[in-house]
Amino acid sequence: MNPAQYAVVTGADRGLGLALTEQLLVRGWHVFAGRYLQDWQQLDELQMRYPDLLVLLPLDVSSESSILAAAAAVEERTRHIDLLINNAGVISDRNDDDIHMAQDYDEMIRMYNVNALGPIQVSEAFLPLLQHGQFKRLCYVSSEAGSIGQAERTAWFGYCMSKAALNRGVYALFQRLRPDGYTFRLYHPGWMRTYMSGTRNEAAELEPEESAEAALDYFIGASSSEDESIAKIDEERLVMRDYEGKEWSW
Amino acid sequence: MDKTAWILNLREPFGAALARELVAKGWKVLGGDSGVKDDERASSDLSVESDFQIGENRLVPTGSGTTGLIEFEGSVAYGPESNQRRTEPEPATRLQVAEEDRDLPHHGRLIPIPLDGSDPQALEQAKRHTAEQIANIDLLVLNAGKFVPDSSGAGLEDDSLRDAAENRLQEYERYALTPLRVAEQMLPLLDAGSGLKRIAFVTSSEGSLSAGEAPADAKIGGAMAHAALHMQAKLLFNDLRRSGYTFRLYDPGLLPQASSAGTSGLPPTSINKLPGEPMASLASELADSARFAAGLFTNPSDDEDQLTLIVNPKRRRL
Repeated sequence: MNPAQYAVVTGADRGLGLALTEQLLVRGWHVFAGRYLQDWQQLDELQMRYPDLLVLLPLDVSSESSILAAAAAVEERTRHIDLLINNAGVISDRNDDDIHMAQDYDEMIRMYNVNALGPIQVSEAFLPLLQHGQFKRLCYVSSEAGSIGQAERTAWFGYCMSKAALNRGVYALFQRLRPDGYTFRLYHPGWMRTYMSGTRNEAAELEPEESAEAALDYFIGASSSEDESIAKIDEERLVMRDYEGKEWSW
Repeated sequence: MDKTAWILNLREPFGAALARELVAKGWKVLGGDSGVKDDERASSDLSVESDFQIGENRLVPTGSGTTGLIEFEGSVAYGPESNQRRTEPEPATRLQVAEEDRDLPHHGRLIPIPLDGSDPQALEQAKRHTAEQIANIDLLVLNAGKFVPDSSGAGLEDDSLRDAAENRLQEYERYALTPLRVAEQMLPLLDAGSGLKRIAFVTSSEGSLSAGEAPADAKIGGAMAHAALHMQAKLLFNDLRRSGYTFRLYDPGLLPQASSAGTSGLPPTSINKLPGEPMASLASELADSARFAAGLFTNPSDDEDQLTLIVNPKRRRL
């Protein structure tokens, strides 16, 4: 019998985070799902289906006290975790304001706190639990919007800066933790039909479940041993890869 | 007509050194200065004329030494060495260097504008004060940097999670949001000109993953904030190039780099150190870096259609 495997997923209320959580549960993982939207009920429904595998964690990744409380709550239930997926993220409805328009700096700070600093803070808080596990896998949901080399936008300052900073922060963690056996995945999920902007984006290309399936194949390996697309990952090299397996430049 | 530059953090040592170099080239320089109160603003006496030719200066390298690499992330150029040297005696201590290099000459071509960079409302006042002095800005230098490295921005280290978060957010405000605020406020004055329309970012290559040197000991907060600044520069480049703006992105190389000299292919930096005075050459490094930057910021480039991170070829190494 395989030992129990434990995962933490932030931003699991809906969209990609919810889909990742569900697909991990299907694969038999124990999942601690970070919950920010207390009134959103999909996680409650999922817990009714997986009462022995799913634990809901109140978690605001922009709050240090919330992060520390979540880590403590996980530690009450398990001495180790194997997989940490930093998925929580926010976006602004002021993205298209170019530099000739008044910028919303409070929004930029909010996005930086959630999208850039949050994943780093969460990683640091859960490191002791990862240290006790064998797998030691750290995963981050980033975005092509953080690719400076391929940036073509003429606005979107807050969101793009937050994702570029996230990529740089993950690289710093990679440099420090890779020698201790940690492995990293940095993922661009594609344009998904999620509620990230407040309402479901029906014009997008992907259902979150589609991106989650590709993400998990990348994060923990294919569920089918015949899938060779995830072969040959070089653990000594941090890259950002998308749902089609394509690498994005920094 | 005078060429006019506006420098953020005018009294910060690199900002001050750059201002002196630009004035020496015949530019009029204004800048945000947190050390000047509103009622102490220098006069706008323009009676002093400069003997220097504005534009190409045969004594200063063009600073255009791009390697021809295409994209910014992945494009790191090391410009030609400056062969100018300071002739005045060098101060004995690092602190003295910093203090002396904060001195700004007062002869009407260098005008500090009161500015508390942490106060967004102060920027609007600074913009009004600037507009009282000049009709337009030709060169905007977004210098948010710190000359002396400090211990802020710790992560995976001794700071509590809360302290680390606060420090990292402060660094984002300092290195990324303040330059953007300044760019937003000063853009109308750049738009008003028909000349250079250049925006120069003073940054650190620790923010670049593809620069070939991402020091393992770089503080996470500062590195992340500089990456955000680089993204900001790219977005502004994408937008404003269409209106004739040109851009510079420069690492003065004044913060010590712990990586070995061999990792980037650069020759080891030659720092003449006097016994017992390991930092005695800091003043000359500062002057050299500012001199290089003055040429880089004011002269044409080989390729204005690419955004390239230029690193001071004489960056300091431990």
